[in-house]
Amino acid sequence: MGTRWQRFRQNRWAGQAFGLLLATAIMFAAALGTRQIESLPLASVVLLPLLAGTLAGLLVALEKLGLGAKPKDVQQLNDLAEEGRRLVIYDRETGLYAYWYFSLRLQEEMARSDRRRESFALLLVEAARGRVSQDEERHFLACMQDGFRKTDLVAHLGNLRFIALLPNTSRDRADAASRRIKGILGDNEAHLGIACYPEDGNDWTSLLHTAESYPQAA
Amino acid sequence: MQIFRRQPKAPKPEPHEGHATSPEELLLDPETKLYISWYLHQRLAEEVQRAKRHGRPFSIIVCRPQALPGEETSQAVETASPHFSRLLRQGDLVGRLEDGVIAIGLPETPAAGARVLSQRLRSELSLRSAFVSKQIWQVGWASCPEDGETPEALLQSAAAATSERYRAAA
Repeated sequence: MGTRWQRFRQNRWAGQAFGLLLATAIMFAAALGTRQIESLPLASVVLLPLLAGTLAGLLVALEKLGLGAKPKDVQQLNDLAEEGRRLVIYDRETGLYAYWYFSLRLQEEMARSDRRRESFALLLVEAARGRVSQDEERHFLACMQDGFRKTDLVAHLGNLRFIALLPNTSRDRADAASRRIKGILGDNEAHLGIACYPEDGNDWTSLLHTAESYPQAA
Repeated sequence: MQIFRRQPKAPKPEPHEGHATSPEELLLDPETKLYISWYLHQRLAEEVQRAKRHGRPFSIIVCRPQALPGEETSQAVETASPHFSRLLRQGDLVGRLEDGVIAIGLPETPAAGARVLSQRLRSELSLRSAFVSKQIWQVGWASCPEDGETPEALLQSAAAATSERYRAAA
């Protein structure tokens, strides 16, 4: 109770509301006492807006103190904030992983592969033509969202370029995955490139370069 | 003659405590710098799926300071949290589930490895936080697929094992 009273005293809105209420009461008493306002309707015209303002101030003060807020609303706001925090790892346009998060996971995967002496593959998928229709773009995106295993990490690099990290995957299996994705993409012309860690490079730049220059006949 | 006194340059505002300066920090608990709960759950789900797909072992360890109901444990957790990076491997996933519970995901680790690590963790954590709070750490482990095939089941098994295995060891 003490804490709530202290918060009430420190609240700017509460102070203003109380000040206004006190001033209104003094004015009303003075006006009636000196008989400057003899008719009550006239006094009401002057004083009622002041009283309404005072009440509004008090309501705002109570709202700011959290006395008027419903716990359900607060819970909803917390849920929304939590949801916002979760969205940070996803790309806003595509719903796939964001590039910064992909880089983070790529580094983790490299360390893990070094420790276990295993390989993983990167699969680069990009639209062959610069411009595609909206339907083609939607189909492309759906393929990227549903065409990979649940354990794979797919990120959007921008401008219909996608990169997928396939953990515990050899070159043969990455080839098979690439053919599968090409089959799903169907008529959409796409360039698919593969790079394997650690055979094709030890860092992101060299792996991406290998994937970009991957021969299409394969 | 200097008419106006030159105002000293305003210092660059320091980032507010707990305010994330990079997106990576949004995944970390501001007090312990371990993964936050939802992200840890997501990563555990991914790792369990991966372990099942590739037939690899996966274990979860749950650590919590022994405390009476209502007793404050956050101080012990915050004191012990910097030591996890030294005690664990680089690819292990450490996060804070609730106030006093820390969960660790151990990829490619069978039950025997989790058992050895949990014993080491119990002694090290109790030693590190003994100067701050005289709380003993309870540590339990669970392995996939023996104790469960979902992250929730594994976490429950590991949490239940904290008291059982602590009593057995004592």
